[in-house]
Amino acid sequence: MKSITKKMMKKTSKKNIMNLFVSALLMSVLCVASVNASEPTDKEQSASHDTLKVGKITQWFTKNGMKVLYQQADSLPMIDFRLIFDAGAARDSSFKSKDGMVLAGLAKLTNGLIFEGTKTLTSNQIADQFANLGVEYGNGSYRDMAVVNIRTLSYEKQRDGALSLLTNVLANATFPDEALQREIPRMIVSLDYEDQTPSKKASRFFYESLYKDHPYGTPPGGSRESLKVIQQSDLLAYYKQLYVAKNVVLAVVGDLTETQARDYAEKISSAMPSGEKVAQLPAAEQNDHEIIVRENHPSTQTTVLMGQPVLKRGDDDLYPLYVGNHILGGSGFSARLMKEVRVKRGLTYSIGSYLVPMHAQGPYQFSFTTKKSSTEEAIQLVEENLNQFIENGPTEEELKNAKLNITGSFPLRQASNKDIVENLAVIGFYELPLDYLDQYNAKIEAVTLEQVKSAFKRRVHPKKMATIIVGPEVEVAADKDQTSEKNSAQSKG
Amino acid sequence: MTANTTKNTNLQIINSRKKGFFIISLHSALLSALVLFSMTQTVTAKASEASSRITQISEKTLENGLKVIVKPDHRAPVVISQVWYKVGSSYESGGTTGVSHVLEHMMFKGTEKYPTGEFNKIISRNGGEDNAFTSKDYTAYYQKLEKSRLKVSFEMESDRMRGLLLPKDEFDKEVMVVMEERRWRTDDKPQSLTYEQFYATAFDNSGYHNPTIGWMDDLKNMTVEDLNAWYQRYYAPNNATLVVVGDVEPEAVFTLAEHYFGSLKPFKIAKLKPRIEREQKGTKRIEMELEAKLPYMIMGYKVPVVNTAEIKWEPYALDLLAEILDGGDSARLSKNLIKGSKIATSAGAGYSMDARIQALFLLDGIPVKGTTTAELEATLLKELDDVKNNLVSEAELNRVKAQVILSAVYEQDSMFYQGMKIGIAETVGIGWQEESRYVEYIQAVTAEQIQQVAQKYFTPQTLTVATLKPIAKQVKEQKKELGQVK
Repeated sequence: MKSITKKMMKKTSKKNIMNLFVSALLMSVLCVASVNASEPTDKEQSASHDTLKVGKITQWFTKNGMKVLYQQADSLPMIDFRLIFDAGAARDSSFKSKDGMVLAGLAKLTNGLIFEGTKTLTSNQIADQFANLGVEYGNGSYRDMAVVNIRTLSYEKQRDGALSLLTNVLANATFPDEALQREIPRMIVSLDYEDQTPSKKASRFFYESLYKDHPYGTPPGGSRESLKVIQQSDLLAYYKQLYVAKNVVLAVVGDLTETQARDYAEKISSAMPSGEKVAQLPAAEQNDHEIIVRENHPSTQTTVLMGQPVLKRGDDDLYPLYVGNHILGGSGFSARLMKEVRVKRGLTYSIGSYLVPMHAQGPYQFSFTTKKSSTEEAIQLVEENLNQFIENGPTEEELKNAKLNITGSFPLRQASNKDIVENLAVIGFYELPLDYLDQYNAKIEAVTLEQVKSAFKRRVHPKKMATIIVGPEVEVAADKDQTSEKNSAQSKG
Repeated sequence: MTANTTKNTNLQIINSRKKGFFIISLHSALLSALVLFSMTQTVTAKASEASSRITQISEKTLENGLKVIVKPDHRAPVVISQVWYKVGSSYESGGTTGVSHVLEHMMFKGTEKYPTGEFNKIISRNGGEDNAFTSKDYTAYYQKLEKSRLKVSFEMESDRMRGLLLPKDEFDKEVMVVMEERRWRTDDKPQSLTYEQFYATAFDNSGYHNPTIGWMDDLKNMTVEDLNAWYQRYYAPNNATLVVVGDVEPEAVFTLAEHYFGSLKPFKIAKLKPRIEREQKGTKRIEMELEAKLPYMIMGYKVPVVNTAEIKWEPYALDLLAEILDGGDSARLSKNLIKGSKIATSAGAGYSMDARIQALFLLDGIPVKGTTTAELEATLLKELDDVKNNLVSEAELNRVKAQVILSAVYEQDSMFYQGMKIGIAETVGIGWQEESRYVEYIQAVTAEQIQQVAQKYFTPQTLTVATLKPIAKQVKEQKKELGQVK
């Protein structure tokens, strides 16, 4: 039965460079708590596949150097192919205009226009052919990753047709100037949309404040200045350098054998030149001082984001920090922040904290919205809870409950082909061990109270965080100890 | 414990139309020699074959009226349990709008057996996820758990079905949370605010006039007595449906449901007044002046839905029409308005055939810079005129049908969504058996029928249009960097 919900699901998979817009047509259901979605690069797995009815993960490299991860899941007659290029917005800063301006938005435009034409097919022909085959196709561009994916029925005719169209696109994308001249104004409209949406505005300032000149400081949606100068030749250069076999991971999940997967993987990778893997990103350092950004916005609520760069993939402190954050702000109604700010005081609808492990140090982020008059109180509560947590750590009971939740929920994180392909993408892209999921629960179980305390003390530094406050004009009162530095900052501002 | 009488049906869905599929395919294939077209036929046939690999649904109604529906999905050792109540914002009256949703929040605030906070805590310790959602037509609660823990869900859901305490101190805080939710969700989002006002304008006396979140003034004046009255009126086993999807066996789920829910007493549910929307006598227009950066427009025509349709095929024709306009990159709005004339930055069409009462066929969009919402509206109307004046080609119709049918297959990947479809169909009155014939009905729609619904329903008499006009900000908007403290 067709419903708005279905439409919502389809929208998310649909190829669309304008992913900033949430059409009003989709709003009809309210939840008791918002689900705090994070970037796809943020995915933190908590799963093991030892009880699942799917095959083992297999990994290999194609002849020209493309890494492939494959897992069989044949309950449904479909296959997902997902290509994850190391070609996210973090790579924009290597591409500059003649005047030396970073071409912010280039990763997103290149990714967004990949289906807009090949040497033999127009944009409409590609769309029609995928539709006729019943293939869902999509793409996505984030800070670390650029993703191209298709989902097809597993019957030979459909999967062969889907694959041949996909390889044609990968080999022969032309990035027509006509499409570029249409999409650039749409990207600029997206910037306007960001400007009228407090959470998006706050997020932009947040990344700017945390990362400055680091590649993660480049706004993925570009700027009004950079979008003016990006040319078709820039997209072609970006594509030529980064959309290559050695710079991509292919995840294949579904109703096909390993032999078939190997055959398709060869076809996909031979559509691309071998190329080179792009260099590692530089480390992202924490600021050595506190930053407060205050932005007036014509809203009834204040949106607050706080945080700093903390965690990269493969970091030794990952598990203690993850478990600790689960207790502090990462587990919905079980988390301290939700209890203190929402349940006990009714100050917010949604509050949480998120660790985002990325190639370089991803942000540790605290976020909430609250009405104008409770802004100060809520900020103080978060600071107090964070400081207290760093000082004293969690209780034994909290640690026990967190482990019960994380380990007990592992089957839930692999309950669909979509979940499985996302897991493979992260394992392959971030070069995690293939037994990452098998080991996960044991690693969680092994985390001790002391490790959590130690990791938070060493790695999380509230006095060096950035705080972004977007909302109606707020008086930040000058009283509490924890905010004294901010107040002096404000008086200077 | 009550002995159970069962009405145990075991029906197979979708598969039964496999034959019909092929007949239609062959028949249509004769009409066209297009290669693309015949590929489409293969897809629909394959989709049908694909559907047949899955989906058997079982149902049983307990003696107290609770209907239990089970759909096994053995792909992973996981189960989703959803309790659906027949109540939502379209049941509400002026003065207490939002009460269904606030009550949904309060359902987590304790019973005698499980005091405030215990529900979430127990689910969490069991490695589960839980949440709840409210819409115009339903209120639903769900848990996602490892399969052996289904009883944890049943025990607590049955307990709060009749045993909610509604403590006043908790209510006082929670209604504040809901007001924050309203600010976050609607008040501070110009498009959402426009959408809310659009609905309130399109519908006068129908229950769809009210926003699900409730008007702010009603939230401010809501009392715990309002909630209690609502709870006592609608939260009963005979006003609920229990839907379970996952790695379970139906008989075992029925036994478990009987054990936990069987002893709950049913009561008489007051008949809901129809509140049939009065006949609209001409286009309604509103303009919202909001502090925003982007213009926006939304328009809608009054149309029937499956639950209300006098002519059975009409909702399915409207559904396909929405897909023809807005079914991805190959659909008309994308091809003609975004890529072709480049008049729109975004443009969409939408239709919820599974609404409980008369609904709207919606079109919305953001014009490109230098273009007005009036021009965008005119262009959207032209697209509708095209459908009224010209038959959709067989190739396009079949492509769109293939997409619709294929997404029905791909949706099987989400257990949650499988449960949603059953829950909505049961709660609004369509029934899951009828819902399961969706593909069959879609397959039967003709190009002539699509033209007919367009001609019949897209008339100025039942149109409502809302536009968002951005106005200059009162406050000077300047980002302040508050210095850097060394």
